[in-house]
Amino acid sequence: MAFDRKKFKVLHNKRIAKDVYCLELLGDTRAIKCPGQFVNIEVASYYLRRPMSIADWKLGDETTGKLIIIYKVVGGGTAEMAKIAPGEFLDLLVPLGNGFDINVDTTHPLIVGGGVGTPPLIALAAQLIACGKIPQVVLGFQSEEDVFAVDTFQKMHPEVTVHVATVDGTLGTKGFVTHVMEHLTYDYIFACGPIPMLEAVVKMGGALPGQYSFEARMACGFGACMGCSQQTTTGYKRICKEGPVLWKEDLQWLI
Amino acid sequence: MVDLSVNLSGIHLDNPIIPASGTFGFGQEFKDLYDLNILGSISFKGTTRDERLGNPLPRIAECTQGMLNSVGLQNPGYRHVIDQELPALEKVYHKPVVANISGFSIDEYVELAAAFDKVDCVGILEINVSCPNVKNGGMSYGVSAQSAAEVTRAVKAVAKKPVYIKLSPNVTNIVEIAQACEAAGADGLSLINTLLGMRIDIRTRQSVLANKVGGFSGPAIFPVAIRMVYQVGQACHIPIIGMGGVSSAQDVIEMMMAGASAVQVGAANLVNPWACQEIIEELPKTMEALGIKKLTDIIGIPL
Ligand SMILES: Cc1cc2nc3c(=O)[nH]c(=O)nc-3n(C[C@H](O)[C@H](O)[C@H](O)COP(=O)(O)OP(=O)(O)OC[C@H]3O[C@@H](n4cnc5c(N)ncnc54)[C@H](O)[C@@H]3O)c2cc1C
Ligand SMILES: Cc1cc2nc3c(=O)[nH]c(=O)nc-3n(C[C@H](O)[C@H](O)[C@H](O)COP(=O)(O)O)c2cc1C
Ligand code: FES
Repeated sequence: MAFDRKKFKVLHNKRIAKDVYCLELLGDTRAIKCPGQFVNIEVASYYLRRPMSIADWKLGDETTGKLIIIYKVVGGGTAEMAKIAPGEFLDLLVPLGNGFDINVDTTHPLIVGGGVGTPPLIALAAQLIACGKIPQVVLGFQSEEDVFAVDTFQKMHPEVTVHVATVDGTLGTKGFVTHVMEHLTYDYIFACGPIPMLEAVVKMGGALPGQYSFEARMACGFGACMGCSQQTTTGYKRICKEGPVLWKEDLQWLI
Repeated sequence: MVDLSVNLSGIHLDNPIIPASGTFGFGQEFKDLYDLNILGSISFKGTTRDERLGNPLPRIAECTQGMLNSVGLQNPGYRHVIDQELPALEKVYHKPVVANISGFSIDEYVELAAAFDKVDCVGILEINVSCPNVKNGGMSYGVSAQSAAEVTRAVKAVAKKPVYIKLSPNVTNIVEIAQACEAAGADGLSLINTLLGMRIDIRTRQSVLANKVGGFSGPAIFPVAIRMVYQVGQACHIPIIGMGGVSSAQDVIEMMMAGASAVQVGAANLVNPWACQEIIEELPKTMEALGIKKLTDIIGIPL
C-alpha cells in the first residue's frame, strides 16, 4: 500500500516556542519509510487537509506507534490544531512523499533548518547518527522566542554541534544560517526551510551534493491533482509525490 | 437487492459513480488504495494535443467547503496518454473509460477526438469546452451557444463513440448552450465544470493563486450544480453526467433526481482518497432507506 488513512490519538499538544506546538500522537506508524516524509491532517471545519512533516516517529502499531509533529500557528487551520486536546483523534493520510535518502556518500553531513522547516530534520539527524554519520546542525530563526529543537539535536550524541542564527541577534549568530555556514566544513547538505533560505543554502554549498525539502500549497498531497507540480532541472515534479525532498541536481532553477 | 446500474448512450455502467477529470489523474495514485473496478467508469485528466506544463505555483487556494485550482491543464499530451497512461490504466481497470479532451482550436479537438475514438478502452469522449479559443481572443468555447455547437459538430463528424460535451457554468444561460450542443448532435452532456473564482491573502495583499483566478469546486458549489443539471435536464433529451460538489451517497441521489444519469465525484477524491469507494458502498443502504429499488427510476423525477 502506498499510504493509508489512519486515526491517531492525541497524547500531547504542547507549546514549545512562540506560536510553535509539539503534537505527540499514538497510532500505526509502520508504513513510514524515512525521515522527510509527511502526513496530511484533517482539521475540523477546514476543507483541505494540512500537510505537516513527520518530525520523529517510533515504529509500532495503533497501540504502540508514536508520531511527533511540530507546527507553527500561521493561520486558521493551524490555530484550530492548537486547540486539539489530549484524547482526541486525528485523521491522517500517512505516509506521504519521498523523504530523505540517508544512504549517501558523506562523512561530515551538514543539516540546515529554517524556522518550521526544522521538524523533519530531527528524525533525519537521529538516523544519520545511527549509521555513524554525525551531523553538524545549523538552525535559523527570527528571534530567541521562536527557537526550538536545539536541545533535541544536542542530546542525540555528544559530538553533534548545534549552531543557532537569529535574524535579530537575540540568540546565537546574528543573521542567517549562511553566516554560520561560512565557518564550517562539511561534505553534504540536508536542508529544509523557506525557499529564500534554501536558495541561499544551495548557492553557499556550491558544488556540494545535497537534499533539500520544499513546501507547496497542496490539495491532495498524494499526487492526484497536479496542484503542487513544480518545474525542476530534471523535469516537472509533484512536491507531494516526487518531493518534498529534491536533490541538488534538480535545483539549477534556484541558483 | 437494489439495482445501481445505469446506461450512458448504450454503455452499461455497474453504478453511476465516475471520478471527475483532474481529480483522479490516470488512476495510478488510487490503484493501491482500492480495487478501481468497483467504479462505474473513470474520467481521466484533461488531455491536450501537446504536453502542457500548467500554471506557476501556487495553484491551490482553500475556500469554505471548497477549493480553487489553477493547475492549467497540466498533462503529458495525448500521444503519451494513449501510449503510456491508458495501457497502464487498462492493467488495473477493465471497464470503458471517459476520455476528457481539451483543445485550443477546433482542429485540436478534432485531432484528439479522432485519436481517442480509436482507443479500445475509451467508452465516451467528454469534450471540455471550458478552454480558451486562442484564435478568438481567448474566449472559451463554452461561453457561447454558437462556438459550443461548432465544437460539437466538428467532433461528431469524426467520432463513432458517444460524444458528451462538458459545459462551463460560467455563462449567462447554460440551457441555451446545452440545447445548441444537443441540436449539433451531442450524445450527452457533462456538467458542471468549475466556477471561476479568486482569493486574496489579506496579509500579503496578493492573490493566493499565481494565476490570480482559478476554478472553484467542492461541496460549496453543489446547489449551483443541482440547479444547472435540473434546468438543462428539463430542456434537453440527452443523458446528463452530473457533477459539482458531490461527496456522499445522498448527494448522488439528489443529483440523479435533478436529472443526472450518472454522477462524477471530483474534489472529494482529493480530501478523502476513498470517497468514491465509500459512496458506492453507501448507495445501496441509502437507496433502501429511501425506498428506491432502481437508480434509473429516480433520474429527473418530476419536481
Ligand atoms: C510537505 C510539507 C511539510 C510541512 N511541514 C510543516 C511542519 O512540519 N511544521 C509546520 O509548522 N508547517 C509545515 N508545513 C506548512 C504547513 O502546511 C502550513 O503552515 C499550514 O498548512 C498552514 O495552514 P493554516 O490554515 O494555518 O494557514 P492558512 O494560510 O490559513 O492556510 C490556507 C491554505 O494554504 C495552505 N498553506 C498555507 N501556508 C502553507 C505553507 N507554508 N505550505 C503549504 N501550504 C500552506 C494551507 O494548507 C491551506 O490550504 C508543511 C508544508 C508542506 C507542504
Ligand atoms: C484539481 C482539479 C483539476 C481539474 N481538471 C479538470 C480537467 O482537466 N478537465 C475537466 O474537464 N475538468 C477538470 N476539473 C473539473 C472537475 O472535473 C469537475 O467538473 C469540478 O471540479 C466540479 O466537481 P467537484 O465539485 O466534485 O470537484 C478539475 C477539477 C479540479 C479540482
Ligand atoms: S497536492 Fe495534489 S498532486 Fe501534489
